[in-house]
Amino acid sequence: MAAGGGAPPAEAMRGAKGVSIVIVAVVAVILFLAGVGVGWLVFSPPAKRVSKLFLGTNTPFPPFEFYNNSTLTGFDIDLIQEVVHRGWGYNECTDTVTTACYEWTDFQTFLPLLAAVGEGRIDIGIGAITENGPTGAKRNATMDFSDPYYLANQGILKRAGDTTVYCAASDCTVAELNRSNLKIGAQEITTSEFWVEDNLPAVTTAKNLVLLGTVEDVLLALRNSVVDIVVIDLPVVQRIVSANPTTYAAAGTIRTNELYGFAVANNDPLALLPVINTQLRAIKADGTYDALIAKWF
Amino acid sequence: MIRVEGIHKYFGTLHVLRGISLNVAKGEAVVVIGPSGSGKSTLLRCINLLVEPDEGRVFIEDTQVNRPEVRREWVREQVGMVFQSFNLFTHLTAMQNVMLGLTQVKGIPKDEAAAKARQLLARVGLAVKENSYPAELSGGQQQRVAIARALAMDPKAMLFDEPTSALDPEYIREVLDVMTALAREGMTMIVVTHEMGFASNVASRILFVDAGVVIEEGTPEEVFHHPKQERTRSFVGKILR
Amino acid sequence: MVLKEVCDALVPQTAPFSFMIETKAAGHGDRPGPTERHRVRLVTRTTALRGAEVAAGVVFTLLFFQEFLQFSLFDPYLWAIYGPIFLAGLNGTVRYILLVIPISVVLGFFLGWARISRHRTLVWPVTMFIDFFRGMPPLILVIFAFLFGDNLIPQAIKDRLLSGIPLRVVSVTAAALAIAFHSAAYQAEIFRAGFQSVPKGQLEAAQALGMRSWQAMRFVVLPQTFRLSLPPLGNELAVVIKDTSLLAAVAGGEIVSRSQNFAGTLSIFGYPVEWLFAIWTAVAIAYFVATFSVTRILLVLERRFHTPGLEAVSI
Repeated sequence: MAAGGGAPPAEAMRGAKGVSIVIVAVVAVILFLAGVGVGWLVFSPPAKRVSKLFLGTNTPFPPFEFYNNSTLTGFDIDLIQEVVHRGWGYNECTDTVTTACYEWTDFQTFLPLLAAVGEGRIDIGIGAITENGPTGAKRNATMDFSDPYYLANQGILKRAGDTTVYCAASDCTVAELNRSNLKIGAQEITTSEFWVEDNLPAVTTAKNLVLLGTVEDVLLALRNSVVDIVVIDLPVVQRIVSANPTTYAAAGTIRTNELYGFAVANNDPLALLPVINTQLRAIKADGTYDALIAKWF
Repeated sequence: MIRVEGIHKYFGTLHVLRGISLNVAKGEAVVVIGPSGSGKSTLLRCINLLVEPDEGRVFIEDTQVNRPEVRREWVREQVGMVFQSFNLFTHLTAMQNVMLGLTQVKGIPKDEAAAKARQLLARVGLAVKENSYPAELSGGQQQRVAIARALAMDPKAMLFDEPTSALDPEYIREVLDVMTALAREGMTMIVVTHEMGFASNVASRILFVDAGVVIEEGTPEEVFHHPKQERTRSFVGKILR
Repeated sequence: MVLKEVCDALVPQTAPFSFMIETKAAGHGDRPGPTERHRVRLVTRTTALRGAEVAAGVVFTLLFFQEFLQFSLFDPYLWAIYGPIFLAGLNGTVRYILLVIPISVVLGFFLGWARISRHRTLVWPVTMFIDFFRGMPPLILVIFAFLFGDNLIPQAIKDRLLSGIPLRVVSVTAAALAIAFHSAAYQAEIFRAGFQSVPKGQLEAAQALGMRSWQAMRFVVLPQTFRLSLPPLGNELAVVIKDTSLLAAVAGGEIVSRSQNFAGTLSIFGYPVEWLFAIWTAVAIAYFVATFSVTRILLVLERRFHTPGLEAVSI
C-alpha cells in the first residue's frame, strides 16, 4: 500500500500519455483525402497510354448497339471492333490480357457518353452519333469525328392493320406530315424527336408529339393507338418490321441524310482518327462493310 | 480515510463548490444535507472523480488521487457509488448487473463471480430475483441491486447520492435497512439524503452544505436540535416536521 | 434453434405479437392484472385485423395483376429467353446488396458514434459528410461517382493495385460505394439516436464501477444501442436494397439494367411487346422478396435479443 502520505500504489498510475489516437486518425484521413484532391488537380487525366483503348457506348439502341444475352453486339460494335483489331491489332481485354487491348464502358444515357469523350476519359465514342447537320455542328465544338460510316434517315412506322396512307411516295414530305391532327410518337433525346420538333410545328403545337423513354415504350404507344405513327431511325424501322411483320408496317422514309461517325476528343490528342479512317476505307473496299450491312439491315 | 481539501468546481461561470473541505474517518458514516443546488452531488462526484475538481485536493487513505498520473478507474474501484436513479444496466439481469464489474474490471472468472454475486444479492435480500431484469423489479428492489453491484467491487468506502429520493414511500424502508446494516458492519460511507430518521440513527456526523461550502458540522443531535447557524436552523426547520 | 426462429419469421406470422403475450401473461408468477388482460385482448384483436389485412392485400394484388398473369407472367417461351437474363441480373443485384449493406452499416455505425464524440475535431468533418450525403439525391451520387470516381483515385494506387481492372468495373464500383455512403449517412443518424437513447446515468454507473470507456461502450452502451437501432435499421436496409436499382443508370449489370436492356430490344427480335409487363412484374417481385427477407431477418434478430424493459411503448 501507499508508503507515507502522497504516493499512490503502482496500479493506480497511468501509462505514458500518448497523443490521442483519434486525432491521429482524423488527421491521417484528411491528409489522404487532400492527397486525393491534389492528385486530381495536379495530375489531370493522363495522356500517356495508347496501349489500351477505352471505348464507350450507350445501349440499348438496336441494331447499332445492344445486348444479346449479355453480349454487347450490334452494327456499330462489330464495325469498330473490326477497325480497332485491324488498326492496332487489339482484341477485347480479358482477365489475362490487360494491355494492348480495348475495354468497353456502357453509359446507359447518351449525354454522359458524349461528355466523357469530350473530356478524354473515353478514347472513342460509339453510338450512332450524328456528326452533321445542326446537332453535329454543336458536337464538333467539343469532339472530333471520323469519316462517316453510315448514312441514316428517319423512317415512319405504323400499325400493320392501319390502311391509312401517310406518305404518297416512298419519301415523305413535310407537308404530308405537318397536320395538327396527326399523333406522332418518338423516343426522347434522339434526332427523331429533334426532326419532328424542327419540321412539324403543327404537330408540336397541338401537343400531339408523344415522347417516351425507350423505343419499346414508343412501340407500345403505337400498338395501343395512343399515337398514329412513330418516327424512328430507318434501320430500326426495317429491323422491327422484318421481325414483326404482322404487327407493324413501314409507312415511308424521311430523308434527313444524317451521317454517323465515331467520336474522339477535340483535336484528337491520341491521333486515333487517321488510323480509324484508314481502316474504314479498307473495310469498305474489301467487302467487309457490305457484309455487315447485310447482317444487320 | 477520505479527505477533501479546498475543492473548487466551476460549471461554466457557475461556482458550484467554493473551497469545500471534509474529512471522513474509517468506519464512519457521514450524512450530508442541504438545499438543492448546494453542490452536494457534485461533492460526491469529486470524491470518485466522476467530476474533476478545478482546484483542491482529494485524498483516499492519505493518497492524493486527483493528480493527472492517477488512473481514475483505480480510484473508482476503491470507492463505490449508488445513484438516485439506480442506473442499473437495463439489458442485463440483476445477477449480470452485479457480475459485470467483477468479470470485466476485476477479471474474476465467471463462476467465481456468479457465486459472489449470488451472495451479495442474498445479503440485500434479493436472492429470488437474480434472473429478473430491472424493468421487472420495483424501485426499492432495483436500488438494492444497485447497492449489491457497488459492493461487489469490495470498495473501501461507499458514496450514496440521494438513494431513496426517487423511491415510492413503501420502498424506502427496505433500502434504508440495507444501508443501516452496512453502516453497522463498519463500512465507511458518505450519504447525501433527506431521510432524517436514518441520519439520526446511523450517522456519526451530519454536514450541512449550502452554496458550495460546509455551513455547519456536528452530531445529529447537535445539528437537528441545536443548530448554531441561522441557515442551518432555517433549513432544518423546513425539513423536520 | 436459430433455424427454427428463421423459419418462424419467414412464414407470415399469424400472431406477430405473441412474444408480448408470453412475457406479460406468463410474467414470472404474476397473474395479469386488469391492465394486462385488456392489453392481451387488444393484441388478439389486432392480430385478427392484421390477418384480414394480409388476405385482402393478396386478393387485391391477384385481381390487379390478373390481366397480365393470364397471358404473360407464366409464359414458358418468355422465361426460356428472359430466364437467364433475369437470373444474371438477380446475381448482380444480390452481389451489390452484399457489397453495399455491410459497408453502409459499418460506416454508418462509426459515423454515428463519431458524431457524438467528445473530440470536436472528429465531429465537424463527420457532420459535414453526413449532411452532404443525406442532401444529395442518390441517383446524382451514382452518376457522379460513375463519371468521376476513376479520377478521384490517386494515379499511384491505380498503377499499383488496380492496373488489371477494367475502367467500367472501377466506375461501377464507385457508383455502388456512392450508394453505400448515402445510406451510411442515414444510418449514422439512426445509430446516433440509438446511442443517445441509452440513459447517461448508466454510463456514469459503469464508470463508477471502474470500467474504462471501451468497456462501458462494449458492455453497456452497444448492446442497448444495437437493440434500439434494429427497427429503424430494418427500414433503411429495405431502402438501400431498392437503391441498388439506381445502378441501372450506369449499366451496373444488376437486374434493372439487364431487364432494361432486354426490354429495349424486344421488337428487334420479334418478341411480343406485352412481355414488358411480365418483365417488370418479375423485377418488382424480386425486389419485394429481397426486402421482405431482410426485414424478416431483422425481425428475428429483434425478437432474439429482446429484453424486458427495452420494449417500445405499445399503445
